[in-house]
Amino acid sequence: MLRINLIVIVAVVVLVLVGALVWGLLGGGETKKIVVMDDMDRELKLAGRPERVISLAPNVTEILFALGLDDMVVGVTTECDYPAQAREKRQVGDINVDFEAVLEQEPDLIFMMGGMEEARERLGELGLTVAVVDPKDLDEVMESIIWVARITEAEDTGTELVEDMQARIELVRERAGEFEHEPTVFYEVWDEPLMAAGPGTFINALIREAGGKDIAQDMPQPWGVFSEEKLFQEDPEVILVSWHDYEQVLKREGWQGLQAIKDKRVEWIDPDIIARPGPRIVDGLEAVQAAIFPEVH
Amino acid sequence: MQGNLSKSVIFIITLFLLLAGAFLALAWGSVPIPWSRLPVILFNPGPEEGTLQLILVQLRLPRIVLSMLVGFSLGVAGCVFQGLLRNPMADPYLVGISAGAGVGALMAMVLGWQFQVLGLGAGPFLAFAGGLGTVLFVYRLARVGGKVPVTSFLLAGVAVGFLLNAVMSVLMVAMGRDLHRVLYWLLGSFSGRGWTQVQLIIPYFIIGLIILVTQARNLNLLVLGEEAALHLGVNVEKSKRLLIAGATLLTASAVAVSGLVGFVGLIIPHIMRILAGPDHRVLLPLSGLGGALFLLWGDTMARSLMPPVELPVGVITALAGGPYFLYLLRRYRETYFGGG
Amino acid sequence: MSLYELKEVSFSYEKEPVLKDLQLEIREGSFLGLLGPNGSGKTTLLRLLSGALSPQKGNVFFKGQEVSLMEPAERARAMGVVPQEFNLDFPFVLEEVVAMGRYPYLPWWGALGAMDQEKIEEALYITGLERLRKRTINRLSGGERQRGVIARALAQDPQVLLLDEPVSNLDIRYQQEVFELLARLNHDRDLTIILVSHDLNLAAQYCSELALLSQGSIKAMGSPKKVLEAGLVESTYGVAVEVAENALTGRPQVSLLPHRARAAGEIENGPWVHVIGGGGSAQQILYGLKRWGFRASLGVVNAGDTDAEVARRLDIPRVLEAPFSAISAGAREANEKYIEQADFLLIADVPFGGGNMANLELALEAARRGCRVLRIKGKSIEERDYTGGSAAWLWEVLGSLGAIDIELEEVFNHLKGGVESE
Repeated sequence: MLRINLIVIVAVVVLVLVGALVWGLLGGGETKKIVVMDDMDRELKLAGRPERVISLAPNVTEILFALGLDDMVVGVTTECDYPAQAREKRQVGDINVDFEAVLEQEPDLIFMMGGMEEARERLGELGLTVAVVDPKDLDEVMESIIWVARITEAEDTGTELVEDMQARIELVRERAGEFEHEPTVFYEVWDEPLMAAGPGTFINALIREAGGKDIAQDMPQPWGVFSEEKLFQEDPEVILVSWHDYEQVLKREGWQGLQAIKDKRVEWIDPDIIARPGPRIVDGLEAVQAAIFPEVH
Repeated sequence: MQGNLSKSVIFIITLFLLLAGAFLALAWGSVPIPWSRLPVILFNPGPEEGTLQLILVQLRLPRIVLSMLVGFSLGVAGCVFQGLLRNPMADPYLVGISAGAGVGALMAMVLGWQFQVLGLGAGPFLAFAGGLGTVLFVYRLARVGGKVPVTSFLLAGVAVGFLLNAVMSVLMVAMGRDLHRVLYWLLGSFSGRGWTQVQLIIPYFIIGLIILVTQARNLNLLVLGEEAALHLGVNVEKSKRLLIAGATLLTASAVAVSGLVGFVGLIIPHIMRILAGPDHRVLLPLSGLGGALFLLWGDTMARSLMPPVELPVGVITALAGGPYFLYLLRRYRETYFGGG
Repeated sequence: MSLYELKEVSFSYEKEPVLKDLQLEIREGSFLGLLGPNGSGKTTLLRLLSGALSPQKGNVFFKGQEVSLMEPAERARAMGVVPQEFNLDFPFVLEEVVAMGRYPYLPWWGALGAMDQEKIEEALYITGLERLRKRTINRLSGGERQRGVIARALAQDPQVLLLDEPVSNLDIRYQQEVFELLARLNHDRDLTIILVSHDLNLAAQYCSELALLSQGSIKAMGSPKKVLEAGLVESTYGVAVEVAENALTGRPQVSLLPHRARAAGEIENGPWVHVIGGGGSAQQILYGLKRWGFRASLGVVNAGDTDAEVARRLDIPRVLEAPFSAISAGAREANEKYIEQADFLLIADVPFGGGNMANLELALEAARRGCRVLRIKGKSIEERDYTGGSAAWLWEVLGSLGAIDIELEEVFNHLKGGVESE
C-alpha cells in the first residue's frame, strides 16, 4: 500500500513538474520579447506586439499605413495627411506634442522623429516607450522600415515593401547610368531669401541618385541661404521648386538670363514625396528623375 | 487714490482668482475631465481613471505650478526693474537678460550640445548662465569709480542686448530647419515642462524672493532717484546690487525653464501699480501674484484653445494683456499721469 | 558753535578742479545762501556738505564728524536735502512721500510708529499741505510739490536743511512761498538752512549770510550788504549791475543793467570819462557810461547826493565832500587826480554855486591841458549861475577853449566815436 502510494505520489510530482516545465516553455514562447535597435541606437524591448501606437511624424505615419497597420495607429499629428485615412485618427500634436492627448490614448509605443529631445525625454519621464525614426539617406529609410516592421510584427509586408522600393531605386539608378550627360540642377527651398538644400538633405541625395548634379553640393550646411550670384555663375539647366508656382518662377524678375528659364526647365515637385523619408521617397526619386530628364516620360 | 479698492481687498481678490484659476486650469485641457470628478481622480482614482490621474498629476499640475512660479518671478522682477530704472515702461528683459539667455539657449540648439549641469539640460543651463552672465557683464561695464549709476547700467544693458541679439540672429540663420524650436523658445512656452523644471526653478525663486523682500522699502526710495535715496539714508550701491541680483536670478531661472515669455514683466507691475499704488512693499508681492495669475490663465488658454495645437504662451499674454492694459491706461490716465 | 567745518577741501569731477582748498565754517542756526556763477562750485559744495560727494583732498566735518564716513542713515537723520526739482513717474501720494523722510529712523520693513506719524503730521502742518496729503505727487502744483519735498526733509527731523536752487523752477509767488517757509523754519525753530541760489535778490532778502563763490573758492562771505557789493558782483559774474537798497528791508537789491552793459573796466584801454554833476543831474550820464562800458569817475559831489548814491550802486569811483559843505582843498585835490587821468570831462546840467565852483575851475584847468570837455546842453548858464556871474564867465572861457556843447542823447555816440577813432 505504502509503496503504491509512494509511487503514485512520485508520479504525480514528476507529472506536475514536467507539466509545469512544458507549460512554462510553451507559455514563454507565446509572450516572446521583441528587441529592436531604433535609429538613435537605443535598444527597445517590448513585451509583445504593440497594440496602440502613436506616430509623431508624417513619414512614420506613412510607413505604418504602408505596413497595413491602420488599426494599430491611435494617434497622429496635424501634419499627417497621407494616406487620407490618417486624417481620421486622433491628432495628438503638431511640432509640439500634446502630452495630455498622448497619455489619454494609452499607447504602448510612440514613434517620433529626430531632433525632439526634450519631448522624447518628457515622454520617457511619463513612462512611455519611444522609438526614434531618423533615417539620413535612402538606404536608411529602408532600414528604418525594416525595424519598424519587426517591432510591429509586420515583417512580411515590410520585406515586400522594401523589396519593391529597392527594385524601383535600381531602375532609376540604371537609367541614370544610361544618360551620358549629368544635368546641373537647382532646388529652390525658398525665394526670399533664396535658400537651397545641400548635402545631408534628401533632395540633394535624390538629385544625385537620379543622375543630376546639385549646384548646392558645396553648401556648408544642409539648409541655408544661397547666394544669387552663385546661382547665376552655376547657371543650372533645371530648376526644381516645391513651394512656388513654377510659372511664377518663369516670370521672375532678373532671372530671365538663366538658362533654365530660357529653356522653360522649371519643374514643380510635390514637397511631401521628397521631404518625408518614408515609402513615398521612391516616388520622389522618380519624380526628380522625370523632371531632370524629360526623355523619361 | 488709485482705483477704488483698498490694498488688502486687491490682495484677497488676486489670491482668490489665483486659487480658483488653478482649480479650473486643472480641469481644462485637450482631454476633457469634468471638474466635479477632479478630487476623486486626484486622490482615489477608479480602475479606468489611472491615465486621467497621470494627466492631472504629471502634466497639468506641474504646468500650473510652473506657470505660476514663472509668472510670479517675472511680475516681481519687472516691478523691481521698473522701480530701479525709474521707468514704468521697463521690463525684466531690458538689460540684456533675454538676449544673453537667448544666445545661450540657441548655442545649445545649434551645436546640439547634450549635457547635464545641476540637473539642468544644456539648453536651460546655457540660457540661465547666459542671462546671469550678461547682467554681470553689464553691471561691470557700467561701473564708474565704484558706483553703478542706473542710467549707465541701463545703457550698457541695452547696448550689450543689441550686440547679443545680433549674435542670436547669426545663430538663428545657422539653425536652418529647426527654426520653429527657436521661435517657440523666443515666444515662451510651457509645452512639455514638468516637475523637473519646477524643482529647478524653486531654489532660485526662493533665494531671489528673499533678497527682494528685504529691499522692497529701499526700492520705494530708489524710485526717487539715487541721490535722493542716499539723502534719505539708503545704502544705495548695496541696495542696487541686491535688487539687480535678486531680479536677475528670478528672471534668468524663469527664462531657463520657459523661454522668453513676454509682456508679463512689463504690464503686470504696471497694472498693479494703477490698482494698488506704488508702495513696493505691497506692489512686489502683488505683482508676483498678478504675474502668476496672468501666466496661469495664459498657459491654460495656450494649451486648451485649439487642441491639439498648442499656442506659444507669449502670444496669449500679448493678445490678452495688451487691450486690458490700454483700457487701464485710458481709464486712469488722469490720476496716473497727473495733470491729465 | 559751528555746524560745518571745511578744511582745505578740494574736489574735481575730472581733471579740472571744481573746488580748490576751500576753508569754510558754518554756524549753527545760520541761514546761508551760496551764490556764484555757473561752474563756480556752489552746487558741488552743497553736495559735499550733504555727503553725496566726498572731497579728494581735505575734510568736511559735521559737528566734528567726517561727513563722508557717516552711515547714510546717520547722515539722513542729521541733514535734510531738497533737490532743485522733484519729478516722479510713480504715483505716490504726498503723504507717502513725506513718510519717506522717516526712513532713517525705521526698521527694515518700515512700519510707522506714533512718533513717526507725529513728525509727518508736523511736517505737513508746517508746510501747509495737510489738505493735500492724499493727492498724487504729480498732481500738485510746482510750489506745493517743492513744499512737499521740504516737508519730507523736515520729517527727517534734521539739524540742517540743504537746498539746491529750491525755487528755480517756480514762479515768483511760489518762490516767495518757499522762502517765507524757510525763513520761518530758520527763525522759529533755529533750523540751519544752507541753500544754493541763482537769484541774488531772493537770497539777499531772506538769507542772514551769503557766500559768493567764484572759480572754486569763496570770494566773499558775510552779511548780504557786504557780499552783494556792485564791484564784487560785477567781477564775479562779469556783468554790469546796479546795487540798490530795498527801501522796505534795507537789504541790497541787484539789478542787471540791460542792453550791452559791460562790467566796469572791461574796455581796459577805453577812454576814461570824469563826470561833474550833482543833485541828480548826472544820473542818466552815469547809467549810460556804465551801460556802454566806459571807465568813469564822478566828483566832487556831496555824500548822500543822488548822483553820489547812483555812482555807489554802479560801483563808479567818486570823490565825496561832506553833506552840505563846500568843496574842500582835499576833495579838490583828489578830484584833480581823477581829472588828470581822464580822457573826457563831462559836465552835467548842474547849477553852480559857491560850494561847487571848484569843479568848474578844475574843468578850466583840464581844458587848458587839452583834455576834451563836453558840456551837456540844458538850461542856459545864466539860469544856473548862483555865483553872481563868475560861473557864467568861466563857462564862456571854457567854451573858447574848445569845450563842446552836446545833447544828452548824443553824448554816448560821441564818446563811442572817440573809442573807434583811437
